[in-house]
Amino acid sequence: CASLAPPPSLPSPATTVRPVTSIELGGRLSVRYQNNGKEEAVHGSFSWSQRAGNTLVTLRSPLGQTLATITIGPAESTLSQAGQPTRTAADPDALATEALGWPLPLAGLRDWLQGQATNVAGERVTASSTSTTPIVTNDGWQLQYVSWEASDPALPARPKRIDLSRTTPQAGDVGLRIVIDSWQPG
Amino acid sequence: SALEQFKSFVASTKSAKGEFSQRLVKTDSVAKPGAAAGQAPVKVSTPSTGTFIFARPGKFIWTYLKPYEQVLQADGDKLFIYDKDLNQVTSRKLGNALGSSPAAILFGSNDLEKNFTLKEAGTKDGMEWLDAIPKAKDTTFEHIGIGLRDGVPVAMELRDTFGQVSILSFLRFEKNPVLAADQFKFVVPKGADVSQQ
Repeated sequence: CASLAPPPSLPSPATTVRPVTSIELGGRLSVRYQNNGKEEAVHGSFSWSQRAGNTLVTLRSPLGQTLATITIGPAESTLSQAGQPTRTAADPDALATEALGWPLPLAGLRDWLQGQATNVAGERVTASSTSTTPIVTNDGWQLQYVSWEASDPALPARPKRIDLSRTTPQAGDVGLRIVIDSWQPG
Repeated sequence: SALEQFKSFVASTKSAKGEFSQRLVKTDSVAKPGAAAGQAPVKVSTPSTGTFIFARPGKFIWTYLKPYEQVLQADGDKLFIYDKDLNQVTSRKLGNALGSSPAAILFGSNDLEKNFTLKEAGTKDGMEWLDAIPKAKDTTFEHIGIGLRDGVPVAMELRDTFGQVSILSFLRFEKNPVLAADQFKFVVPKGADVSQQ
């Protein structure tokens, strides 16, 4: 017989947008972290152009100047910053952390920005606008879906503000806050 | 000439306030699949608008009102950034954070030629334009243009090293307005989380 037990029942997807492989997102982020004991903070905006094969991320200063562009490819990622040689690495997270000095979980965000995650137990979970319990991901980030964009009743709710936190050896307690302003699937 | 207008602006303006609108023009470096070669689509962001007020040297409040609320405030010593949706205030020493940023041109100390090479750039759209090329190499700007009319800046064009251009226009520019004594003192909005630095 095909399957013994029905798949674990996911929270009703109706309340949350279904993930798509290609989407254009834009928003703002603030990051708090420690740099050898000193509290540091960064503010800026981002644009996120995700395709099945690769994702182009642009980070900008509050006044709109490009700080870095990151291309996440299936096998390799590249990051370029103003006045610096382009960096490449297999792991986009390590690449961003090394270049920016603060952790930016790019790989995970491909899912998390759309309300999807793989939790500590390795299960695929969908964040829902009706629950505020944080999701702890399999790579140790805690995700809090703080607010949702649901102004158009015809569309399912989609994440608006997401707070991410984690304790890392190099950057201590890290707090990342993301607000998604524009959401353009396809 | 633009240079004369700019020099008289800097000399005669201790403080100013007004409104701004900002558009980001990006030629997508990664042309969309199917786009004709060489025809990188130009993406123009929806304009953000807000107000500004500044006093030399190094004091300003740059407030985005639309499409979201965000405040960049320098009190001469520290630079505060508050974002309403993120409910977050970050602050850090002003130091040379202004340095070669657009804020330095309008609001910073007036020995601008220390950080920039200034050159006439002719007349366009009814304004006399000045080119300000940052002297420091590691700056995020490749080129800054300032458009002046009647002795005040009316527009600025900021091109960063990735080819993105930010176009600012200033409206209702008021020179040397009356300022409150604590005009630039930053007050943490109620309930906002603060990260000191």
